[in-house]
Amino acid sequence: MILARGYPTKMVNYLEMGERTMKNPLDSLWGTVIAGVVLTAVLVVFARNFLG
Amino acid sequence: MENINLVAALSRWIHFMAGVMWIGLLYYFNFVQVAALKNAGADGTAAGITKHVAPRALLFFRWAAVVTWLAGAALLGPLFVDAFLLRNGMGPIGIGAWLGTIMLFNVWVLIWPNQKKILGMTPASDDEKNAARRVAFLASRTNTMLSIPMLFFMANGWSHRALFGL
Repeated sequence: MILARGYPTKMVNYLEMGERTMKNPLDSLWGTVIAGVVLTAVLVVFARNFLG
Repeated sequence: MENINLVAALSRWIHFMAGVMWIGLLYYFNFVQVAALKNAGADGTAAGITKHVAPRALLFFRWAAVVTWLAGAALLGPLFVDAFLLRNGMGPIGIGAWLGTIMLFNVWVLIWPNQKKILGMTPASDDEKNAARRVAFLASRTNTMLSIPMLFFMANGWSHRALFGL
């Protein structure tokens, strides 16, 4: 019984608590372009530091 | 030596022309056709695009991808292996070559077979068509995303050599 008090049995609806679901950036054109620019920056850092 | 230069010059020329067609059509699909089809579906005019425009655009799109890759490989010539192994100063162009290769794979393995189901070129149920629509869409968007770093690394001129300390 003591243990039970620490473990709520009621399911918590995280969406109701304001938590947002993650969306796929590729579903929007802006998300796609921004993802491409970010990937470019990551690859430039990789190329500058790890490629001969 | 002159023959080698001629092959390189022709390969670069063909690589650029086919690449413009490939990426141009990719941008047409993503920036124009997706939104246009949504609106056309609402007023019942989508068939004009799906029957007459999309199949023709896809024909040039997928074969331009092949020609671009082959001309790029010919342009790399003896440096092909160095580029794909990202060594001997060929790292930046190698990254571009890898991105282009992944995009070619997406075109022929993910986009084209699923587009055939969507356009009714191969038989598919409504559920299969819906699944194919999502896969083709995400593969096409992935290629649009990959085209951004691909074009950056492909434009491997003097500015880039300085950037990468080559």
